[in-house]
Amino acid sequence: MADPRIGEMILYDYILPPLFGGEYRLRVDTEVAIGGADQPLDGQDFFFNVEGPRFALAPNEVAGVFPPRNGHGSFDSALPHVALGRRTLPWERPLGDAHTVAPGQTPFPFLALVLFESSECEIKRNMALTDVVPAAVFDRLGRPPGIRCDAVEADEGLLRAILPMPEELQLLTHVRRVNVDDRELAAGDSDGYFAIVMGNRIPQPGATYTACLVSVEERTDLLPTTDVVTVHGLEVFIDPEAVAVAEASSLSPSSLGTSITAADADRLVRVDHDAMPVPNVLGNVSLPTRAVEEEEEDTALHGVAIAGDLLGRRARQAAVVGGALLHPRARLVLLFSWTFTCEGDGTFRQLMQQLDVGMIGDVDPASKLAVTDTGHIKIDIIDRLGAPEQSWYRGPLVSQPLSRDPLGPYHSADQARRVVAETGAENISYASAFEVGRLLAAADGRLAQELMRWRRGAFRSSSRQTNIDRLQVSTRLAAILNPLDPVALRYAVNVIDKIARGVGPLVDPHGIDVVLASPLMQPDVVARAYGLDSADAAARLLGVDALPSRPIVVAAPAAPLLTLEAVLNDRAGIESLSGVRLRTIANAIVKILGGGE
Amino acid sequence: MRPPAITARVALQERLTAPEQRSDLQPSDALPPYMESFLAHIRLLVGVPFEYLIPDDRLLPPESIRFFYIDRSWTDRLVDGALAVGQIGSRESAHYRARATGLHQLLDQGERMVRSLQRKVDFDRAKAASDADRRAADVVTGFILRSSAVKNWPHMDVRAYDRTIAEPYHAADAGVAAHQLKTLRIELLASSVMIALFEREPQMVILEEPHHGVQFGIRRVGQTLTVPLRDGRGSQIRVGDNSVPVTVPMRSRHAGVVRVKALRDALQAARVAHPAAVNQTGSGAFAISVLDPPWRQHFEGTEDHAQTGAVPDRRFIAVAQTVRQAPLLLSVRHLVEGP
Repeated sequence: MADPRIGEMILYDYILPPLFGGEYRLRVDTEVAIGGADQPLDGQDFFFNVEGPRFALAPNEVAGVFPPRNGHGSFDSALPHVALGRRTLPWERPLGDAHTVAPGQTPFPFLALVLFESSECEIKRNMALTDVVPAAVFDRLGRPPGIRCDAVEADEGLLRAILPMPEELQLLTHVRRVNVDDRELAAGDSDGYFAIVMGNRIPQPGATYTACLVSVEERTDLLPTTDVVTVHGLEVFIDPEAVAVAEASSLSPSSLGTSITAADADRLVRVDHDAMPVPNVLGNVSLPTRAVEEEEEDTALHGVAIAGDLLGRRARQAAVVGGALLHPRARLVLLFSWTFTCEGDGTFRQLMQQLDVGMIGDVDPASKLAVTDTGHIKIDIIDRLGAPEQSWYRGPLVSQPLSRDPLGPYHSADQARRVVAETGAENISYASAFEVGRLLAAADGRLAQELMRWRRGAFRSSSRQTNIDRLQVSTRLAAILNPLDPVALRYAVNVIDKIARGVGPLVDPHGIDVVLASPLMQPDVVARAYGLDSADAAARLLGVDALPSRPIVVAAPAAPLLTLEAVLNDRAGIESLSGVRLRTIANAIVKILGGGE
Repeated sequence: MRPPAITARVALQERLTAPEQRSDLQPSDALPPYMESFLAHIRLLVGVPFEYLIPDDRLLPPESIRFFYIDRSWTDRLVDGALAVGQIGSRESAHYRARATGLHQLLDQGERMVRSLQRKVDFDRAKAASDADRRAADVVTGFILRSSAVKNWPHMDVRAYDRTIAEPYHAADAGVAAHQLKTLRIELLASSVMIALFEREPQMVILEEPHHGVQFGIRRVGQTLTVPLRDGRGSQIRVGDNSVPVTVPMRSRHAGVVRVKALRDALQAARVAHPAAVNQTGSGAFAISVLDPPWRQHFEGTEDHAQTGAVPDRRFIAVAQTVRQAPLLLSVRHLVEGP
């Protein structure tokens, strides 16, 4: 299923749940064969129930209603509907055994949205289920024990007239999948699927209505099966059960109460059909109960009409009061209801077009609220000495784009207090922002902990860096560039490396450099010390034969000298070096002693 | 002088003798995800009490909408305040001072993931998405709407565009979607107050009736009721300039009740003359036929550049800018530190 694009929605006829509500048994069997021979293992049974909303509905399952709850508006050109957040809900229970379909065909939903004028129905809270549905229906529902539910009670004739037929229920229920990118967050469900149950009655202007989402599970006793019949060449609605009963002409006295005999009933039915014009019959059907009660004393003809009407139904709840019959009432399991009034303006479009549009800070002059052109208002505060004071305040919502204060970060609210030069009053906008932030953070326990951990981590890593730097300087080990390296390991490797490499060749094994470092062997130094004209003069003074004028060549040994003995045995080398050394010293002595020459 | 808590020598010794070496893959002073998410949220004023946003009722009368810019200095102070928790000494202050710049840059990016986080997207995924967007933080604008429509039409569509787009248009078209501004936040502050924040300045903001609440509309013509014939996308089928009305059959026993099945049959019968009409295959097709398209309310431009479609020059009002001017800064330094 492709996702709906922005601003679009996709409609589905129905979405079935993977499992319907009910009791289930899960049986696990393992088939094992060893060497071709079956080796049966014990199976195991698990039992579970799948339960969905059946006699009650949590309020959060209802995602939206139209017309709006307690709304006032011109809703007289719209069918009411209710959006349910759970997309499979209307099809989670069967409508009844008589209304099953083959797989792949549109199933019958068990929910219906019925619209009553407020005076037509009565909502009863917390009824026993047995008081709500007739015994036969209770049996078909599986006799669930101890159920209490809400119910809506209305005239049975009215219910038959306005309840949708099962085939209409199919058409009145569908699923919408909407794009949820551009809307505020829903409290729970935001998958974009909604099951929609529509009503079939259009509200009339000027009346208050109650819309009721009812369960019609197994209520085939109330749902009409057809809505049209041809009588006298006219297409009119006639209660199908009335027709059936009239044709049968056989009513048991018990269904009629005690005061009307079967023969009377038959006559009444005939009177109904032959003598009374059709519209009259229709008109009397929804006669309110109260009217009947008032006229019960003397209106025989009316009583006849009513009785005739009554005969047309299974007079299960017929009440006989002093010979006159009252309209029976029927109850339905109520899952959700809301009221609205059909009057005046109040559609989305009207509300939107009448909005007061402006930038923040635009106020009605009549409201007497002084707002500066920067958006600040004066508020009364109590300063920290306890004295009442007036300050300027502006929230984060401003009417002009502002640049960002680059002077941060601030460490206390006082740093963010400002005084307005023109008025001398304080501007506490940013200071209060600081305090709100501080309180919000302090109210969040986890944040405070994380903040501490963050700081501790930073302190620890900076102290670690200090240690690394110090180590590097003091032990002259290789620098550790990656701060994530394990320091000790790296240094240990460093040290072992150094040991393994051993000591390289000595720079000055024979002390020649030391001799040469003597000031008397350096003409430059002598020239500076004695104020001579040039290094040449000093060289002449020290003797032309001064050593630096020619390189010292020491014959390299035949093999590397690794032990003290080897060095001592290297006679040629020692002799040549001793020769140079002696010569240098003799040279120096000669030059110094004979310097006066 | 106080002896140091730890010397390099002791530190080295401890490190060498520690049973296990630290090998965290994250630098230990990286911002914890929870903190980053919290700070990004309060950057968008999530959780800020309503009185601080609208300090006086009269700034937002009933049935009104107010557009605004977000004052970034204000939200920066919020973050400063949040980080002041437990800031008890110079060590903590120094720590924050060293990290403030980087932190604010991080949050500039982080603002963009708040909406994903609010919609229960995993933090790492949301952060990866917002980090991919490398643009610097821009102006944040928005509106606050107080109307009974918010309560009565929950989940209305809210979109902002950087230019005026003429009706009719499909919001999902590439050319239109390219001009849609990123929505940073849409939330109800109360049952009838909605706040929406966008990145950058919109030229057009629309509020659209929620789609799952789109009503089933019927036209009253005198005493008879009709519905216009519609195609599979919900558009009316037109003959010339007129729609094709189909009379709604009513139950004669109760005048207010629609004969739903008969209406479906009538709609299907009308397909003979108008084959473009939606095929009545089930409740979905029937719903399309009787739906009223959602009402889309536009808010466009301002007095300054109404209808021109041109993006106006943005004029910033400088806050504390003068303090940053070099000569002033210098003279202050001279005063404090001596020449």
